[in-house]
Amino acid sequence: MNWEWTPQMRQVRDFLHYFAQTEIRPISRAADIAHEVPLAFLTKVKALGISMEPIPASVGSAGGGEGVGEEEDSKRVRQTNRIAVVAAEEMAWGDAAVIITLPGPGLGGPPVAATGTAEQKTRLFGVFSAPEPKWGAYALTEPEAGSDASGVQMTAAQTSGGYILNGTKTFITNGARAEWIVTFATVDRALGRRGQRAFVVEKGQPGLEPGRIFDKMGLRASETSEFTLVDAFVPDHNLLGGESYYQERQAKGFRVAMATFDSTRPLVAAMAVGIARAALEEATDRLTQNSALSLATPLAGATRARLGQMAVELEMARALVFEAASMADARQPNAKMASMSKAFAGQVAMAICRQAMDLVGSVGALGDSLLEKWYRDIKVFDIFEGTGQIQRIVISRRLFEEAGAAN
Amino acid sequence: MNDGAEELLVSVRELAKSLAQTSLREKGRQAEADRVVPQALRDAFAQTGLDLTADPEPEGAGLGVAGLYAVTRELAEGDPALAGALLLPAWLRHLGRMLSQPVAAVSFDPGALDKELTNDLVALRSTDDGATLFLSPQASALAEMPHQPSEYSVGLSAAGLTRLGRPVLTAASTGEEAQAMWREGVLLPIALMLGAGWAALHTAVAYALTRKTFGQPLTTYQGVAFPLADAATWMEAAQALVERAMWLHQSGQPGAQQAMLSALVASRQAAFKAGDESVQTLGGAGFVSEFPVEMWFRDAVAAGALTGRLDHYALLIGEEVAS
Repeated sequence: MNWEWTPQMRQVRDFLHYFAQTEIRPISRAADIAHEVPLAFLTKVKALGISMEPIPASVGSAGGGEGVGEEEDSKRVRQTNRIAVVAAEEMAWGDAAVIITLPGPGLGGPPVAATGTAEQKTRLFGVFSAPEPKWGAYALTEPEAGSDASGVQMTAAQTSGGYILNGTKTFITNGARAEWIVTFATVDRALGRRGQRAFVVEKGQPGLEPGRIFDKMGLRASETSEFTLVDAFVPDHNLLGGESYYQERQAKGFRVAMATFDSTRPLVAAMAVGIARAALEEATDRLTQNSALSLATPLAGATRARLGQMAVELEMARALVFEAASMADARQPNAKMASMSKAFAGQVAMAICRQAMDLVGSVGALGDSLLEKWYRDIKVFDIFEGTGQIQRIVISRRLFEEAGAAN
Repeated sequence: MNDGAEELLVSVRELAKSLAQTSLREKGRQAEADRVVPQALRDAFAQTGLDLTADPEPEGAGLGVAGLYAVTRELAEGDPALAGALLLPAWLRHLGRMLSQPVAAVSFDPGALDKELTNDLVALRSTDDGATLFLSPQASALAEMPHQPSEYSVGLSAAGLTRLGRPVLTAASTGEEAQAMWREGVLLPIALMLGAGWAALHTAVAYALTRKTFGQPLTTYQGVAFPLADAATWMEAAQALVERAMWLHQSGQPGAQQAMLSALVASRQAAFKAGDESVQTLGGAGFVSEFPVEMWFRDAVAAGALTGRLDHYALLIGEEVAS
C-alpha cells in the first residue's frame, strides 16, 4: 500500500479545487433551486475537457473482471483510480449534483469499457467527441428490483437480428438526456443471474418511453429519471460484448453489473468525503468568524472536541477510499474495500453534515448557508450505488469467505 | 388531570388524528411546493374547534398546554409543516398570556437576545400577525419582527417559521417565568419533531411489510428490521420523557426544567433517527418525492434546528445535574 501522492495527483487536486471553487461553487445554490445545471456551464466544461468519469481502469482488477483490452505494463504504476478519487473529492467539494451532471458516459462508461467490443467502444465513446455536451447512462434498478439487482425483471426476447426488450427502469442519473443507456435485462428469468445481459438502448429508438423526472430530497440539480421499454427492438450489435461473450462466461451479465460497482463505489465514497469536507470547513469558518457561536462560550471545549472528532472520521473515510482505489490500481480484488469505503464514508459524511448544521445554530437550516443543502445532498450517498445494508452484506460475505466459509 | 379532562383530551386527540389523516396528509406536499397553507384547510381547522386557545376562559378548555401539545402532535403526524402553520397562532396566544410584564418593566437586554438568535433560542413566528415569540431557558420575549422569510430552508417550508431580521421587543420575561414559558413553548417544536418522526417511521414499516427483495419482505431482514426497531424504541422513550416532563411542569414539581431539557434533546435525536432510518428503509424511493418520507425527515431536522445547537442543552442539563 503506497500512501504517497504522485505529482499528477497533486496537480489534479490543485487544478480541480481551483475549478470547483471558482466555477462550481458559485452556481451551486442556483442550480439546486432551478433543479438543473445551466447548459452554458456544461458547454464551457465540455470545452475545457473536464469530465467526471468512473475509471474503467479498475475493470479487470477490482471486480473480478477479465481486463479485456488492457495491456499490462509492469513498469508503469497505475494511478488512474487514485486520481479519480482525488478528483471526485475536489469536485464534490464544489457541488456533487453539478459534477454528476458533467457531460460524458457517466456510469455507463465502465461496463462499455469492460465488456464492449472494439466496435462498440469506438462507436459509443465516439459520441462524446462532439463539441456539444452529451451523456451516457446506466440502468439497472427497477421499481421492483432495487437492492436486489439480481432480480431484474426487464425481459429480452431474442428475435431475428436482435432482441425485444420490455420493462421499466428507474432512478437513472442523466437518463432522460442520455444518448445511450447501458440497460440490464434477462433473457430467461429462470436462469437467474446467468440470464442477465447488458444492452445499449439508444436515444429516440422506437419503444423507448420516457418516464418521470424525480423531485428529490437532495442533489436536485442532477437529473434522475425512469423509462419504459415497450417491445423495443435492440439490434445484436447493441448487446454489450456480443452473445458469445455471455456464453463463454456463465453469469457474466450480473458480474458486469457488479464489477461496475467495484469501480464506482470508491468514487461515490470520495464524493461523500468531499461534501463532508465542505461542511466541516464551512462550520469551522463560521465558528471562527463568530466567536459568539463558539470560542467565547462555555461550549468552546465541546465545540473543539466535536470538530476534532469530525476531522478524525473524515480522515478515516478518506483513507478507506484511497486504499480501495490503490488496490484497484494494483489490480487487486477490491470488492470488500470498495464496499467498506462506501458504507463508512456514506454514514460518516451524513453525521458530519448533520453536526456541521447543528454547530452553527438554527441558521444552518436556512438557505443563507449551503450547510442545509449539503445535508440534503448527503443522504443519498448511503443509498445509491448499493445501500448501506447491501454494502454490509458484501463486507460480511467477504469476511466469512476469508475465514474459510463456503460461498 | 381529572377523569373529565382525560376524556376530553382523548376526544381532542382523536379529532386531531382524524383531521391529520383526512386533510393534512394529502395536502402536505403541495403546501411545501407552494409555501402556503390552503385556505380551505384553515377553514376546516377552524371548524373543528381544535384551536383550544380561542377562548381565554378557561384556556385550552381546561386542558392547559397538554391539550395544545396533543393537538399539535397528532396534526404533525399528518404533516408537520401544516401543523406548525395552523397552530402557531394558538401557541403564540397561549404563551403571550404567560408574559406578566411589558418589556420596559423587566431587566432584559435586547443585545443578549440578538446574540442568542444565533445560538439556542426557539423563535416562533406567526405569518398571520407578524408577532414573533423568542424563547430560551434564560429569557423569553414577544417581539415584532420584519417578515424576512428565508428563500430556502431544509424543511417546514409551509409553516412560516423564520428567524431572520432584528426583533423589536414588545414584551419579555426572565427568571422562573421565562423558564416556565420555555418549558411550554418548546413543546411546539417537540410535537412537530415527534409527529414527523412517527409519520416517517409508520410509512417505512408499512413499506417494509409489503416490499420484497431477494424474494422476501424487507421485514425479514435483520439489517432492515433492527434499525426500525431501534428507531421506534427511541421514539417511544423520547415521547415518554416529554410526557413525564409535562407532568412535572404542570404539577409544579421540582426537576421540570431538567426533564424538559432532556425531553428536547431526546426528541431531536429520536426524530432524526426515525427519519434517517425511514428514508434508508425505502432506499431510492425514500430519497425521491414519491413518498413524503424525505420531506418529513427534513421537517424533523428543521423543527429541531428551531431550537438551536443540541449540545447547548447538554451543557444546561449538566449544569442542572451539578446544581
